[in-house]
Amino acid sequence: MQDFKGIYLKYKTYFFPILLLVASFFVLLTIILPQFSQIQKVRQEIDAKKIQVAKLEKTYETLSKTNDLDSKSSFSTVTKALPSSKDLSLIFSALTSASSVANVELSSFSLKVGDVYGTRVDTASAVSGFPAITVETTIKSLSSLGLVKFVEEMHKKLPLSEVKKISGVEDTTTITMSFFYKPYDLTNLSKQDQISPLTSREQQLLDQLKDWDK
Amino acid sequence: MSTSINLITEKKRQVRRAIRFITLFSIVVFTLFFIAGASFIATVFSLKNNLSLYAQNEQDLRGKLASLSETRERTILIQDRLANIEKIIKTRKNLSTKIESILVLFPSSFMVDSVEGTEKVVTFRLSTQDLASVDKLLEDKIKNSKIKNLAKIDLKAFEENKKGYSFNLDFHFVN
Repeated sequence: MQDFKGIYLKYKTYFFPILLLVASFFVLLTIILPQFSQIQKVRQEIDAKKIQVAKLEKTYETLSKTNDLDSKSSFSTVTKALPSSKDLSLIFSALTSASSVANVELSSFSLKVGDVYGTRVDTASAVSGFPAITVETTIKSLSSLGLVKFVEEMHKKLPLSEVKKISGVEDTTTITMSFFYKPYDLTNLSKQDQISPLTSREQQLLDQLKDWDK
Repeated sequence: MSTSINLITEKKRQVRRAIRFITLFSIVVFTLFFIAGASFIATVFSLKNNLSLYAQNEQDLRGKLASLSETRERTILIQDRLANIEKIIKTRKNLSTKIESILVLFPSSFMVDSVEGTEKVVTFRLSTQDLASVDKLLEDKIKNSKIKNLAKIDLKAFEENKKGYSFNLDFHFVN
């Protein structure tokens, strides 16, 4: 005890500055450095939130300005142009409409067997990886021009189709065509946070489809 | 005698000066660290406050968007469909333009008996009573035609029959 008292009395003038320096070191390690990294982290979080909020604001602005009737009409047109599943009534309707405009007689039409109710997606004969249902139709036309007109009209009918093969003798021609469809990818669609208005190109395409749908 | 007393006093004075300097230095360092620590804590507090305001703003917007969910889904689907439709329209082939561009070459003296066509080749079976017009068709019209993406033309299965002269013309396309 006497020794400690002796040491303290000898070195007491040094204790205060040493204590302060140790306290400074303690403040540096436990407050300054952790808080500095916390500031960086919180700033990053704020930047991310700002971007997210901006996206949501833009989406809200777009959606609140959308006319409901127009939107429903546009939806009807695009799903007719590219249905989410095989739709025989749409296909038949397109064929009869094209034959009427081209002034040809629609004799028959048939589907590739096994594809009507199947869930397996056939992309073997499709354009750019889109599934399609293959239809074979027979038309009667007095001239080749009627055939050409029919094929031209089918190019402007909904659902979208592509003529793959034509085989005709005299007034009877068999046409093989693919009608496209595409199921919705809901997982991808649900991830979308930002929605922008239609671009002018999209609007032009939509107008063209509406024109074809008349 | 006086020199030895002066030395001891000078040394003590130096030590005292050093101790005063160290004390002052430690006070300054501690004060600076303390102020810095307090500022950092205040900054973090302020930033976290900002962050919670943005989070609240985000929540409010999501709440508003929930009432527009049907319109949102419809809009997303419309844009998705349009993107896919554009791909199809750009890629699909139009056989009618190929057939039409060939048909205009045939004079009225020719009858089209049959036509077979795919993306790569279109075949017409033609008949005519006039042999000379076959030559004119091949040498004049077809040779000078400007059919797009045409690779070559083959003449096959030429025969004389009750219709006159019949033959196949195969038009081969590059794409």
